[in-house]
Amino acid sequence: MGQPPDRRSILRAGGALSLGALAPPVLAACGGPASATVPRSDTVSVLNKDTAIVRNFNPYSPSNHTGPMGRYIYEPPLWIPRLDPAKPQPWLASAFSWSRGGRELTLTLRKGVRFNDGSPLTLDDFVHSLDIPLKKPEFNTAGVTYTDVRATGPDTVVLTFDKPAYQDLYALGQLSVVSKRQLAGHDLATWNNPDPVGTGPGRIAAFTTNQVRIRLRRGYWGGDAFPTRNLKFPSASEDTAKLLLLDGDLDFASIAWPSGQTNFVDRDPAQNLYSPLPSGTIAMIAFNHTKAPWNDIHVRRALSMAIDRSAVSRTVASGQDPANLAGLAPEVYGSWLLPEYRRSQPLDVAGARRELAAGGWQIKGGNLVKDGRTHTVSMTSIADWPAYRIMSAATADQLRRHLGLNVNLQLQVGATFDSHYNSGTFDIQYRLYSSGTLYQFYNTLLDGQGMLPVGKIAASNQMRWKNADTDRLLAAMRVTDDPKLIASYAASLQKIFVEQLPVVPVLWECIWAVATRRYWTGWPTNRGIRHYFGFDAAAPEAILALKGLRRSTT
Amino acid sequence: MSSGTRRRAIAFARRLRFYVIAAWSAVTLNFLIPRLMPGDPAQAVVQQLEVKNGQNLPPQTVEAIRKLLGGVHENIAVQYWHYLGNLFTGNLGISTGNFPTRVTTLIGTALPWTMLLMGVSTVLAFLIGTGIGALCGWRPGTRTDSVLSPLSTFLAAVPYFWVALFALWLFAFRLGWFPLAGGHDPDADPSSPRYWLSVLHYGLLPALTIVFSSCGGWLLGMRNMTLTTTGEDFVLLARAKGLSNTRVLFRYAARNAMLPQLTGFALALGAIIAGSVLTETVFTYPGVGSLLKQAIDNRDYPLMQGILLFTTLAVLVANFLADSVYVLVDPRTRAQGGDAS
Repeated sequence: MGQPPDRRSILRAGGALSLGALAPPVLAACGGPASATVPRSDTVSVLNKDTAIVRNFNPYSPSNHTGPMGRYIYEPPLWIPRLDPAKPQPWLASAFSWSRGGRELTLTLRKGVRFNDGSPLTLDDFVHSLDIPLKKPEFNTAGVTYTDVRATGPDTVVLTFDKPAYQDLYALGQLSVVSKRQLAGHDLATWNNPDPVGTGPGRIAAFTTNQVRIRLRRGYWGGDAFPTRNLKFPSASEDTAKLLLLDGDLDFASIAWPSGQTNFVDRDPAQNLYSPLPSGTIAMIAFNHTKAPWNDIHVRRALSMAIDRSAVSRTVASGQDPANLAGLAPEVYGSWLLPEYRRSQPLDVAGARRELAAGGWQIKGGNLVKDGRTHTVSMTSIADWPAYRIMSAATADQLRRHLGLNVNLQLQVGATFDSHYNSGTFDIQYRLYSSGTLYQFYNTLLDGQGMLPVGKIAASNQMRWKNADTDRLLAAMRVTDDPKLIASYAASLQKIFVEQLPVVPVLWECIWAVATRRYWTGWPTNRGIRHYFGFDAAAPEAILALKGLRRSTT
Repeated sequence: MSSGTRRRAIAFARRLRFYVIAAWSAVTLNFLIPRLMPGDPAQAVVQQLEVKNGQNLPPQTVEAIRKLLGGVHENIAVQYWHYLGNLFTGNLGISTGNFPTRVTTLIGTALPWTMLLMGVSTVLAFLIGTGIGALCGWRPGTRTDSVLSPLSTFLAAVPYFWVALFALWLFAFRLGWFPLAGGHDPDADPSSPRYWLSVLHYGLLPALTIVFSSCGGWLLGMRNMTLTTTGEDFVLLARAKGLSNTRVLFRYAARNAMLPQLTGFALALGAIIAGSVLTETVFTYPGVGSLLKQAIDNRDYPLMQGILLFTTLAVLVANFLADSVYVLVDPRTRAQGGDAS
């Protein structure tokens, strides 16, 4: 055996190692073509909350780490406006019409659309895009329900449904129209699609692990009226994003900012903007309807009456206001909302006690007692989001304060929390809820048809609500597109919701808009909001919101 | 083959056996632990998407995601067998949270950043802390020692995240000397010198916070060990021989005082990946720490497993190196190598 290496050679090796460690980031950063530097003042800078971004533009990926960038690249056949989901709008399909009693939908392909690689969008591409979720159900991440796709003319496609599907248009707002040529030969289950081809105005201009740049092309079918051609999406955590907004590195972020008024807006009221935007989402108490005492209407009513919602709202201090009785945000579902349900449930301790008495319930030692049986009050909420920790604790405190209920509040990580919800293995949960259309709002929450037993993982009606009237109304709503009939069913469903209280709505949940007017104005605010911006629910929304921006003159 | 060499070979073989068993246990635990955690990846992805879109997903979408990500229906023994087979072929699977990206791609992108930031700053903290510690221990009670020793106790006691957040607020936000987030200038061309300078610029503040927080521990350890060794007879003898102070300090006292430091250093190198989570979260650094946090949020088992595997193997390799280097720097372990294990 030779001489052991001396210390110097060990040190030399160490030096080489640390130098070696310097080399690799080049490889890591070479993800995309470099772009010529664009002035900050000519760039719209929007937060990407994913701090570890991957060059993944597979349109069927359910990953939530694909960032908001894809919304400027892929477009859907229809646009379901977030603020008016009852009125689907044409998008890549320039027209749509129902036939055979809602069992057939004819889509007309828009003319003159080109992909961002210059090739035209053909009927073949369109049919292929609609067909993928049928051929490969695991890629049905848009949630389509049709069972057949066929081209019936030079620019028309007919979708066939098994049953009337007037309420199923929503999925066509989620589906991405793709280039058949680009997808050819790729396995969607392993392909990242690093250079996506779509009909949207955007193209990837530069990609690094910290930031994605999008360049808007000329010749987009929807017109060229964008305030700039340059978008960038820097990555940062929510906390860092606040500093970046204050520094002017970011123009817009969709983040909750407790005390955002003092910490952000008041610093420069002329430029800084923070508004919780209505979203149609409610923060609510969900009950397990297979379990006593939660299957007793009197108990549910008592809980609802014993919560001072304004107090909970003040405690969270981020801008969530008390929800109304129907749990239907007027900004989203305004046309159906019954006037008498526009108010929220006031604190009514005497009423709550009357309800408990009417149901034969007593409160002893902080527990609910009936017929000699004691029921503890176990509420779970989600540990992942600070606001829900605060909201659920404030709500539990209200029940303790006004009814003397000893609420055992437990926080669970998201996946555990949801898996209990889906399996029906919970008592009551403090959670958020929303759905696209009015029908979806009730159907996902309350549809009793095909209700799964406790222990099975359910994707809808996880609370196991069983009510014949609800089922009948939903079934009737499903098979009609008559606005009058829909309105009457909606009114009956609201009545059931308010009187039977399958859930107790507490606060509105918001979509957050934090923006500065340093370089751009025209951001969505509470007043006169038309399109949401910066969250990736729908491509049309993001594109239209961008068109609404103007160069700042200050 | 001399008997000494044979003894050493036997000792080496024993050590190797230990490492193989340790590696197998780590690999097996790595397989089991994520599967004992509540919640499944499909559920986690659904939940995160709902939060992100602010809307509940339609049941058909949820079903599709379950089909895509929840497709593990084999029994656990078969899964384990496949897992071992894949490990040997370097296939760590596809990340569920970043579907359909390969775990090796993700780790391959993030690892260099972590190695660069954490590796360099751990080495720097060790060198600075140990160097100053040796000087303090050599001359206890001097002004330098009386300031630095209590200061380093204080530094070692301050929680790292606090130091990091404070540094970010002061140097990056208030003073604007450093960028607020990221690992490099996002607008620079990766082949340009500007990009390389930005890598240094972006890494400097996180690196300084690590050095600042961790060199106190090295300093204290080295100071106290040096203090103990300076009282030893062999140091007295060296002094009596009239050797220069520098020579006595570095060849006699510090060399012996270094031994426990080296073990600690090897362990610290092994803990780099695990330790990077806080730093990378605070500074939005695109390394393995950020990736691990994301993997846990998503219940992304393949990614979690990949990172944990790297972490445990790094600790084992570091330990192995420490064991081996020990033999080189301490002649006593060489003389009785066979009995040491």
